[in-house]
Amino acid sequence: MEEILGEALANPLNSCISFKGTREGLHISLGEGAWQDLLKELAVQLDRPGVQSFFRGARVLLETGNRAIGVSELEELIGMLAERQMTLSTVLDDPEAQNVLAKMQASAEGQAVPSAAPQAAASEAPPAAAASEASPPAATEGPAAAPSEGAPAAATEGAAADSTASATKSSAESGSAAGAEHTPGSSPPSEPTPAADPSAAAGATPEDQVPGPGADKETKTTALPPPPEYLPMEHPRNVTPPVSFDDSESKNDSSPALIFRRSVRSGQTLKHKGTIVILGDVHPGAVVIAEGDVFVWGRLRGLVHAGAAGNNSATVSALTLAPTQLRIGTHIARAPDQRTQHTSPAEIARVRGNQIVLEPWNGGRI
Amino acid sequence: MPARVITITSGKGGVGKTTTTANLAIALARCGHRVACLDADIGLRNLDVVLGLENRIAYDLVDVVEGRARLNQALIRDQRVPDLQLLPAAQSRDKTAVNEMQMVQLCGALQNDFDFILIDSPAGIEHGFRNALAPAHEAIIVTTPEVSAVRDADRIIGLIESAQKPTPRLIINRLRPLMIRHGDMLDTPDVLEVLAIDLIGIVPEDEAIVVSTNRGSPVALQEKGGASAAYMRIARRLLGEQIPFQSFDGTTSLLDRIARLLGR
Repeated sequence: MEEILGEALANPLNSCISFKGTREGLHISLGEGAWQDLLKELAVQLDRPGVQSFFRGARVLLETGNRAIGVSELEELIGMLAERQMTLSTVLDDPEAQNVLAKMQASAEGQAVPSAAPQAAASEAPPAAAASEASPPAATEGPAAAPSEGAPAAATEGAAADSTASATKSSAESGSAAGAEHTPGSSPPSEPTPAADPSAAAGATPEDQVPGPGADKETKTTALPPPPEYLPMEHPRNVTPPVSFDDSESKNDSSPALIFRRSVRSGQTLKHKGTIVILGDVHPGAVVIAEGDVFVWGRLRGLVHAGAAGNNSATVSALTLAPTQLRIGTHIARAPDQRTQHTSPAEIARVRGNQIVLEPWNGGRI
Repeated sequence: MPARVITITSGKGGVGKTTTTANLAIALARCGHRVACLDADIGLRNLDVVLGLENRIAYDLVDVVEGRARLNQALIRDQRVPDLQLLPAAQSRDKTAVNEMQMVQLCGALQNDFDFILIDSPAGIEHGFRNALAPAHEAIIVTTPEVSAVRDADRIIGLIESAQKPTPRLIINRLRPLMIRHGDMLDTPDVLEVLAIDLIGIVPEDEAIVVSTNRGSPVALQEKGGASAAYMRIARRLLGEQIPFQSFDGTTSLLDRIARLLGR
C-alpha cells in the first residue's frame, strides 16, 4: 500500500500535464515537452492506482498548449484514451485539430446513426438555410439532454464549469462545421458560452429605483431609458454572431426554445437567445436571462429577465411567481415584500402601460 | 469492497462540518466499520482538535502527498475507537499545497484498507472545496436552519451537480425546536423546500457539543444524548437502514410532514 502511494507521489503531478474536472468532462492541458514524452507521461498519470477507475468513461477536453497536432498524433491520443475507456470530445485551443476531430466523430457517428438526424434538420429549417445558417435544432426535438445540445447560447454558470473563451470559440467552430458537413444532431455536444459575471448584472440595478412595498398584485416599475449595461455584452451587435439568428421584431421566435429539465440553483445562470422553459424551480440567487419569454413550471424565486434584448412584450410565467427581481425588456421590478396568498394555479407577469404587472393565469386570455 | 468516499461540505463556515465529520466517523466506527477521516482544511486544521488527537500528530496530509512520509506513518489511530483513523491536515501550509489529482490518488491508496473515507471540506467554493470534492463518491451537505446557510448550501449543491457527482444528501444541524415552535426559526420542511434534496439527518442544538468539542471527546462516543443519538441515526441511514426522522417540534410527526411535502 505505502509503496504504491510512494511511487505515485515520487513524481509530482504539477510537472507538464494538468488535470481539471469540469462539467463538460476532464480538462487535460499539456505543457512543454516532446509529444511522445507527454503521451507517455499522460499514460503513466492515467494508469495510477485509483485514478484509472476514477476516469473511466470520461470525456476529455484537450488543451494542446500552442502545439499543432497532426492527424496521426490525434489518432495516437484517441487510441491511448480509448484503451482506458475515455473519449476525446474537444480540442480547445487548436481549431485545425478540432476540425479533424469533428470529422472523425462525424464519421464514427454517421456509421452508428445512418439517417435519423437529417430528417430532424429538414423539419427544423429549409434545406437551403440549413447549410448556410447552421441553425441548431429546436431543443424540444432533442432527448432529455437537450439543454446543452440544442442551444449554443444557453449556459449554466458555476465555478466548476470552467468555460473559457477558447471553449466558446471551439464551440462555434464545431457548430458551423457540424452544419456544413453533417447534421446538427450528430454534432459534438456544444460547450456553454461563458456567462457574464452575474455580480456585474446585480450591481447595475440599484434597488432604490424600485418603489417600496404596498402594491400587492401590481408592482410599480420605473422605465429605464437604456437597457441595463450588461445587455450589449450578451448581444454583440457589432460582431458577426457564430450562429446567425434574427431577432428583428419577429416576435420571440427568433431562436428555438430552450427546455431546461431541472432546477436552476443559487449562483447558476441560464441564458438563451430565445424563449426558456424550465421544468423545475428557479432558486433564490439564480439568474435566468432570455431574449424571449420565460416559463417556469415550478417556483420562480430568483432573478429573471425576459425580453432581454429590449423586447417589452415578453412575458414571465410561473406556477408560483415570487422572484427576487423581475425584468422585462427595459423594465425592472422588485417583488412586493408581502404577497397575499394567491389561489390561481399559475401567474403571469407582463408590461402594461409603463409597469410590470403580475396577474393570475386566466386560461389563456391575454 | 473499496471504501465509500464521502465529502462533508456546506459552503458557509461555522455550520458544523468538522463536528459532523468527527461524530459521523465515530458513529460509523462504532457500527464496526473501518473509517478514515481526511482533514482537507489545510492551514486551518480542526478535525484533530475535535477528535482529541492533536497531540499525536507526527506527519500530515501534505507530508504524505509530497513524499516525506508514508501513509501509515501519518494516519493516527483513535485509541477509543480502534476502527477510526485520522489523516490530519497541515497547519503551516495552505490549500494550494495539494491538488485535486493528489486527493484522488490519496483516496485511491486508502480505499482498500477502509470501508469509509470521510473528507472534512473547508468552507467556501474555491480550491480547497474542489480538492475535497474531487475524490468523493458522494457528498453530504451540512446546513443550519438559517437563510444564509441555506443559500450557500444551494450554491454548493449546484456546484456538486455541475461536477457530475450524485446529488448530495442533507444534514440540518443545530435545530432548535423551541424557536421553531415559536416560528422564529426555519423549520425542516422550509429548508427542504428550498434545497429540494434528500434529508439524511437532523441534529438538534445540544450544549453537550460545545463541551465535547472543547474536550476533544465527540458526543458520538457517549451512549446518551440528543445529538449523539442523532449522529448514530445518520450513520445507520448511511449504511442503508430506513430510520424514521425524529420529530423535534413535538407537534406532528416530521416524517409525515416531509412525506406531505414530497407529495407522497
